[in-house]
Amino acid sequence: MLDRVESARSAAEERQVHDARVASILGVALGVSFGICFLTGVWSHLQQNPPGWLAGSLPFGPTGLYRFTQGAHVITGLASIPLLLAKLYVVSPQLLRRPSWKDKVNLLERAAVLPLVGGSLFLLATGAANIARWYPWKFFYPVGHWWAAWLVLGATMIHVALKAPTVRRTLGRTQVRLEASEPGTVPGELTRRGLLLTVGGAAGVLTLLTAGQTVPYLRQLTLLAPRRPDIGPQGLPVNRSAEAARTTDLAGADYRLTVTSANIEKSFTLDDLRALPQRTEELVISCVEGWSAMAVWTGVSVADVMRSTGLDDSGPEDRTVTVTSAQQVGGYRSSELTMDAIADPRCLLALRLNGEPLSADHGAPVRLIAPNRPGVMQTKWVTGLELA
Amino acid sequence: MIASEPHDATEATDAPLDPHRTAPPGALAWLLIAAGWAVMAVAVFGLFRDPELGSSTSWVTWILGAAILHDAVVLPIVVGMGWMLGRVLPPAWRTPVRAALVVGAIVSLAVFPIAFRYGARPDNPSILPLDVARNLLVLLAVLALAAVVAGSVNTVRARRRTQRGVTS
Repeated sequence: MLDRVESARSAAEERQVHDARVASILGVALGVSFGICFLTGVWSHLQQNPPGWLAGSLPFGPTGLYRFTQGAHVITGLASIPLLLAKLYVVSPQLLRRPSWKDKVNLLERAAVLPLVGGSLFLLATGAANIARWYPWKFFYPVGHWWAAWLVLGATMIHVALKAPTVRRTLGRTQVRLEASEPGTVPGELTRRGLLLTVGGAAGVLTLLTAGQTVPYLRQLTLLAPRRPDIGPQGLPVNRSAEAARTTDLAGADYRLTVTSANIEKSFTLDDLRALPQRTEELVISCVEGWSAMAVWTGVSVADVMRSTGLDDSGPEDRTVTVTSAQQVGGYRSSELTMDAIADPRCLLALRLNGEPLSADHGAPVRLIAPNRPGVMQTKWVTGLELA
Repeated sequence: MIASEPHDATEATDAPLDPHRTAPPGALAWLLIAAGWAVMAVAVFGLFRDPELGSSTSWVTWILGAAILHDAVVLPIVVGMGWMLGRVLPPAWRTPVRAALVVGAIVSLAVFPIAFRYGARPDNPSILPLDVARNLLVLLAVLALAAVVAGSVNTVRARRRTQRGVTS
């Protein structure tokens, strides 16, 4: 029985779709796509959880930077699904190779393959479920996804260290040696080229039909995406509704915005805010889940509000303003603004969206909207600014 | 020509070449391997110390479960289907049908949580607003049609080739 498995296995290994060159090509492609996902993911994490030593020194960057990096994260992650599944299929005959206890290199390789394969599948599966807002597990998604990314990074380092010579051998100049002993193709069998075209086709279809949730030129093709940037209250998607946050009645006569610092505490009514200079800006809202939408926001700049209280905003560069929400339920109830972010006059407390008063779901009566910022940090239902 | 190719000593002794063989790591590779294990240790340590994680058992189950589900369920199904199609289909039809099935299956797998709208919420219709299930079915129909067209073209071409072979 074992011998029959081994002979079937080594026969499969001879076929083009299971050869080391396809494995190398897909491996390099995955290295690039997982690399993009890792870097953009770390960038997004740092935006949301800046460590103390970095606070205030993160580069602020151009207006649409976060839209670009997070859009790339989700697009690349989705395109990695066909790449990873194809890679696992290509190398599958190696799974059944009988382990030799003498071959220490092989044992070492196998030990790191479990976290590599399990972790990679985990990252793509949890990511795909997260953009669909489906959480069929018992851990906090961002935390689980974050540490799994580091696990896969470590496992990938080991994999690359062990497999770099194979990639060099199969894709480098010496490939002639392999070409010479190339197996003949059975009629109708999927060739190396056929497999790669199929995988590329799957990645292409997936990208074309989902990327329109953030890439404006592909809007017409948004057929399989979890969001469309023009669908939602006031023509803009919403992540957490006012009903879910229990803030439906916030925009009443007794609404107050409280601005505090060490020496000052001042309250603003809605009329007070309307009396300050109003700015209208076109700013993008970019969700961590990979969709983004442009909208026209009208309101007062945070800097103007702070200045009108007469508080002293001089002092060390790493001071921050905490923006707090009236949101009763759920995470992301406050966010931090660096001095760099506030220095931009487009950092707004918005009162109006696309020419109408903000709807409750968009954070009525007052929400934060600023350039280059994850959507979860565009705090809605703002009731407090605190300079610390 | 092959003999004139520069290659290192380990490769030269290794004939016939096993393309799947993993070479013994050099000093630099050992360094990268050690760093890799260190990064994995940091990841696991960081995970278990993270106060916001929730259930670490669930996390471990999903990582191991993903690998087991793939290797023990998905892979045998894919390999079995490929083998079966090879037996059932004439050669001209094999590549178009396999390619269409692979693309359709992978795209369906990637977007099924969106199509089935598990995350839909009554208070927020802007979440999952599209009829992705319908769009996916249309895509699968287009793929099936493409496979039929490609398979027919292949069949006609193969027939002409053999006819030409006979008459000439």
